[in-house]
Amino acid sequence: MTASSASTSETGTASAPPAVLEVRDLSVHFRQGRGHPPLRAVDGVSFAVRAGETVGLVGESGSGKSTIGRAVLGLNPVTEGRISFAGDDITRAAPRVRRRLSSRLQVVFQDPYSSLNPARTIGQTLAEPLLVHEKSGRAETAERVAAMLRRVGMPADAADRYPGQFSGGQRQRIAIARALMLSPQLVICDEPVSALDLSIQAQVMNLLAELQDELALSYLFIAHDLPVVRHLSHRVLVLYRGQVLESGDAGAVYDRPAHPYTQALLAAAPEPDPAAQRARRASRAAAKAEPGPPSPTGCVFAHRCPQVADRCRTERPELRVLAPEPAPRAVACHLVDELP
Amino acid sequence: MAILRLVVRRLLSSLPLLFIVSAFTFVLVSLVPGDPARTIVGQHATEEQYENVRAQLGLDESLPVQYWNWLEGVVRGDLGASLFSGEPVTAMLNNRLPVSLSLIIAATVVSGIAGVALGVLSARRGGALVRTVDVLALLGLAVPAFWLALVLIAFFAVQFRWLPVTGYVPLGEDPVEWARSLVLPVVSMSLSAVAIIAKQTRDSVLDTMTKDFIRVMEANGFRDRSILYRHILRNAALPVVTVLGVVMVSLLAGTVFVETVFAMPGLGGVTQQATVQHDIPVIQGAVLYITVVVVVVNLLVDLAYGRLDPRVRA
Repeated sequence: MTASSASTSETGTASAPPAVLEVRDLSVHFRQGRGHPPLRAVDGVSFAVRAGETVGLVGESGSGKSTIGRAVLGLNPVTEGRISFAGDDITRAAPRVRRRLSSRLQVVFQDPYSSLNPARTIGQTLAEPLLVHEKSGRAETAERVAAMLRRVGMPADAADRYPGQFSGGQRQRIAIARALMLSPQLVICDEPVSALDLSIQAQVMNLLAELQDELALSYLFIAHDLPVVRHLSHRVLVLYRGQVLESGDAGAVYDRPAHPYTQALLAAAPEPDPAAQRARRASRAAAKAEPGPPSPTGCVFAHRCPQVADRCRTERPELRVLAPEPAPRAVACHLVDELP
Repeated sequence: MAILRLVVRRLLSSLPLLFIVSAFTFVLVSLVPGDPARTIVGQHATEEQYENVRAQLGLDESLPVQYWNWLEGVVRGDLGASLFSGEPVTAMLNNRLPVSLSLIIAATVVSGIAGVALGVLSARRGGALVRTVDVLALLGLAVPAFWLALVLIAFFAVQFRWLPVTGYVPLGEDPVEWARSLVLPVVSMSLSAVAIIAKQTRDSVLDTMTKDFIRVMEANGFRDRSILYRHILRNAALPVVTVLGVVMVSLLAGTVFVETVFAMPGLGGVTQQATVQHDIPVIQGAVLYITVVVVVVNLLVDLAYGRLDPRVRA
């Protein structure tokens, strides 16, 4: 039923470094009230993030990408499946375990305006993890806060100021600094640049890339903006309605999208050339979605798929590894061999 | 130092406000039909007697001159004397201010504590408590304080005889009786305030709980209590303080009714009586006192903002 059979191909290679994060057959269902079937926000997703690697989760809103991140952080109850961090099962970790884990697993959220406590100075916010985990002295704490602020491109005197005195981009740098205070192994980046101006986005993305090189960080990078994900990710998972439709090497997925949904998603990014953009709009208008909800047994994308065949509506395609690719690549589509 | 400057600046800027409010009150009272001189001399007095009393009270002067005379006195610290009892207004009001202040402060403390506690509880528990707060809020806004006061008297003072029916005992005379005499008035004043504050607190706490900085802490394994008390409440407090200031001012208005029902010798009662009698100096003095209280309350609210929210400090 669920598209999980390809997961072994993603994680099982002998030469690969050990996975920092491993998610297996993860399902998160939300109750929708009496008489309604549960909402399958995440439906049988498997992937792994290795040391120093960035895995991107892309998809439109409602695809379940943020829910996966939140499940890893323990913010959503997991319905089925297993999440392990460096080999330890953290699927339903107790708060005490989470507290210990927080020195190795951190998060940067989307909204820079709500992600910092407005009533505390930047210094207090950044020092908090140090005080909890290491009980370090005042002078040393202040020193490390200042060093981290410098590292993310903020003046050291920012420590005495409040979040309200900084712009969105600066606050996002501070949020990144907070995540990195304890030198974690994995940072969940939940749309970290989506709320920022384009030029600021680029700065923050470059900062994330530099920090990854320096600190051998792993990122689970969640975004709806494809160029952003491509820029930072080594591998990507394309999600739709809680299921992985395509996964593989970031460059390959972008240059040669195999799944009709990935193709549609790439085509949805605006085109700088107005003539090309017009042509694309016309072709998109021609391929209208079928009315009604998607078939419960078939492919989740069937009702919107331009290439839909009869078996797509009755039989759910499993994630299958594509043969000729040099890097592992998996697609959940019956028609993958027939598509252009 | 910055705080001191803020206080001085705010007090200075409230001087024009006091001037405008007093002028406005003066004009309003003069527009209301009624004539204190006529009331004093009675219906059977001669025209000559009436004119004499008018001249004595300074009521034969034109309105601007009357106002100017009053204002001159205020600057010297003399608020004049009651037209009826001849008692100096300052002495009269100074005697009554503690009664009203006791009421307002007690009602604010009670509704602040009860409102915040109910609000936080209902934000955390949800369910039945939420509906209770909603019903209470509706009830508190719909039921007038003076009616509630009468019902409370009927039950707790007349039926059960737990508390005095009416009256006020000064704090200096007998602290226990002072507290007992305040219970029913404070409860009847506080009901709507509790409801308003509880609702505001709940919304504010719920809003803060959805903020990402709380999410980050939850992801780091800080659950419930420690997060709530250290981080949510402080951020949720700002709108609550705003409402508390508004509530305090409306409690001030509430004292007029409650002091009348409970026969308490406070500012509200004296204002009501003076208005009926057209006792202009007393009305003017009472309005001046009340305005000062409002100014001080607003100043306290602003100072609280500064303590709570660094964004306000500038």
